[in-house]
Amino acid sequence: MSLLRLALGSLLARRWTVLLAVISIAISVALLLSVERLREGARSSFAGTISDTDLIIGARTGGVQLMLYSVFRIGNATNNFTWKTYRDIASDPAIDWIVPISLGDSHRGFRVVGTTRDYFTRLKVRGGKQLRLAQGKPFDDLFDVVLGADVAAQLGYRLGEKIVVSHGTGAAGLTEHEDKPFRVAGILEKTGTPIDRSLHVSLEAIEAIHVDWQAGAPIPGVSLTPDQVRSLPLKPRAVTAAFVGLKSRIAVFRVQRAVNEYAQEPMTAVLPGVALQELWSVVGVAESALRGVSVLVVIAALLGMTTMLLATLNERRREMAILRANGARAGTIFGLLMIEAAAIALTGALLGLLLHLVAMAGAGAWLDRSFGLYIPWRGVSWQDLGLLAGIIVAATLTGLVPALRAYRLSLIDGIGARL
Amino acid sequence: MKPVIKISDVEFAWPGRQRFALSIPALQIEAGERVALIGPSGSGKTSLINLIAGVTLPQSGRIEILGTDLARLSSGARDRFRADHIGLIFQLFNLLPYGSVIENITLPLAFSRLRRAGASDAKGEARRLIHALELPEALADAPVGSLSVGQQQRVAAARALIGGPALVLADEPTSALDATARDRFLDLLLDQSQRTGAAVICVTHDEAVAARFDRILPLEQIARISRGEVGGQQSREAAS
Repeated sequence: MSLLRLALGSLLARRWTVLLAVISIAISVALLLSVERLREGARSSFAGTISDTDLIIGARTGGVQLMLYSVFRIGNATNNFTWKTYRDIASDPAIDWIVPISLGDSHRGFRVVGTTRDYFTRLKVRGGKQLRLAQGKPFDDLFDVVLGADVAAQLGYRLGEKIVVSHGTGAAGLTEHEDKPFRVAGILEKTGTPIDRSLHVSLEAIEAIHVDWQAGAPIPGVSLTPDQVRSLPLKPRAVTAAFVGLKSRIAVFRVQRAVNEYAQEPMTAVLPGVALQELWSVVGVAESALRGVSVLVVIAALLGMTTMLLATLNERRREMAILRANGARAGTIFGLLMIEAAAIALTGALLGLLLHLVAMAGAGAWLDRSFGLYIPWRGVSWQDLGLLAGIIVAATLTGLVPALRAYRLSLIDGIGARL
Repeated sequence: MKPVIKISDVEFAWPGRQRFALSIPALQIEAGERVALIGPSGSGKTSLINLIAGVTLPQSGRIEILGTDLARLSSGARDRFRADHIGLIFQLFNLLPYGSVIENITLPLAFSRLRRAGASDAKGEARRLIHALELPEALADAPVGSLSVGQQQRVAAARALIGGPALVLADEPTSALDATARDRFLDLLLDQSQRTGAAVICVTHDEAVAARFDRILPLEQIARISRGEVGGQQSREAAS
């Protein structure tokens, strides 16, 4: 019998305990690989929230703050900026396109975004993917609304349905714009970005629902019907932020400076890539913690294997005495234990890889649907293989502990271990 | 031809047990000789086997196996020497439970080039021994767990003999067998050792077993054992 055959035979004879060690390593490996994949997916999902946009501008604020409310639709803008400022900036010849958004209203917890029709053609996600309508078309009429995919799915709205927008963005106790309902004109395809959780109306519509309001409340006794509103000149007074695409990226710093130094109103322009990076450095702490935990799980599994090998050594003294009596050196016993540890780790790692691939194949669509976490099938990367190799090496190293113990025991016992 | 075993002025004490000591002034066993080493249990028979096998070394004196002084070998070289020249049979639990009969018989060949050379067709030689030791040939690839104790001892004998080592050490090999199985086992063991030319040293406390051998060596005649009867108990306790 070769050394390998001896080690495998011995492992097989203890298959149930060995299987437990293999499974715990497999689970830890699958967890580590999956967490790595999720990290990567989260990062690219995050980075793909906005794409092909050169600058985002808003009233004077921090870059991360501007990013949060304009792109991620988290929190509120401290200030809007005037339509005149918007027009001035938009007239810069370096600007290819500009899409304004006006925030401040909501519908059952989802943000309402006032914008122009360019929003649907100019904003890109995930490396230049265009927004597409799953049903209907972009807003046309003053009281048309285009829903993000999650809004439609979660609230069960269909084309043509009438919905009412609330003033403000809290969860409850909001004043409704109930006198001016909107009609669902289109539903966007899922993008895995906050766009899925937004309702889109025209800038004029935002004006229209606030035309008989003042200082954030309806003017008592003044209520205009939708038809009366239609006849009014609805010019936007202010917008919250704007997405800008330049004719040439070379101009980006000049335009940014021009916006930041705009004299009539304090303004901020940020480069989305830079702001995303800054934001990720905040969010990334959680990701590192997650990775840390999964590394600890792997360590625990390896310690479990070592414990198992150590604990069974005593019962195996007879086995070792037989081997020694038949000419095995103490070094051979050491080698056997090392092979056992390596074999358990290798089996566990391969099983874990399989588990990970099955999980990724199975959960990919669900993750996208439920969390907007888009993780394309990628198979096995060199990085994964590196991790696996690292785990197998680590397992073999922890195998040194039982192997050395077995070596010492077999020197003490020799061929004379009695049962 | 050199003697298989030549022991002179050996003094041995288990470390940590100063009171138990074994001293053997002289012992010589010739090639192919079949010797029964008898004595009551606890008389140091197993200690002597361990010394001859080179598992333990004496504090003083000289043990030569086939002309090689074991004390002069490194521990690794002693292991290799044992693998090459000595076959061992224990009282019980001789076999690796996860191997087949053939795998158990050919086990020493994995560790000794010399014995591999002595059994160039390992499987064929194993099958020959299975046949010669009257084991059912159908058992060759069976797991050893399915064997009776008598059959297991024969597998152990086949393993000790394969590759033709010069010396077979058997430590109470028949004590778990009934009289019929015991006699048949001894017949076959002695028969086959004659064929391979191996010297056999069999430790036993059974006169009927000893009677089958060329030479009977009562341990008390060749060795002096000091047990430290007086105060032995205290010193053992003090040592532990």
